Amino acid sequence: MLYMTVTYDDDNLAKHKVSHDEVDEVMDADLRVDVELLPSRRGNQRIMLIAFTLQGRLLEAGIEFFPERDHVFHADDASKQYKAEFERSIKQ
Amino acid sequence: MNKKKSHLSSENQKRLDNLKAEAHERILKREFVQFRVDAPMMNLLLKVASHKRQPLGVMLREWVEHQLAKEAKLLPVPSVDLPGGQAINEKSPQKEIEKVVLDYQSGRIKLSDKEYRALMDWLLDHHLAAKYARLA
Repeated sequence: MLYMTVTYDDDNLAKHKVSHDEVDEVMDADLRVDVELLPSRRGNQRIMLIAFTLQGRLLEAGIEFFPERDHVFHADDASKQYKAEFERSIKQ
Repeated sequence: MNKKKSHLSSENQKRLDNLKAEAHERILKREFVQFRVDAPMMNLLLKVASHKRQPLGVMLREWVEHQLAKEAKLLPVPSVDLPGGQAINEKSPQKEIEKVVLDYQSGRIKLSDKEYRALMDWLLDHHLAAKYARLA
């Protein structure tokens, strides 16, 4: 496995009271919805992950894939749109 | 539930699989889990622990271990074929798996992402990941 450095926008995470551990739990969730977003202004691919944390908090976490690192640019409680997307996927 | 992989390009999926594997390792290293209980349940837990003359954490850990052993027996045994025909699952003999690890480390065999992940999972499950830290 090629280990990538993960970096975080800590201001964004603090604003939404999301910890690094919670983001890890979203990344590792088997029960997860992944949505590809438009590339960033830098041209990097971005995705949004929607999943429950171990404590049962439904989060959305945005990741930007830089060539040498994965950057968590956003994490917050799942928005209505993503909550609906997640619930739809569970039913499928 | 299946992940909505259809939304992702194969390149992004690969990055994401890697991200998941790394996050999983960090979660394992925590060796810690916590959860909320409401006040009535907390009260009851404390009463039962007190009655049993056990610290609450010790009692809960015993309960979890007991139930986990039962549940683990019900899990399906996923099996992945490694190069050389060795199937890797929870029943694979340690000697055989360690031979695969050594072959991989020395470059004699190559592993796909799926095979590598199965191997890493096996080593983690058998507390051998640290011994073969160079594998990563």
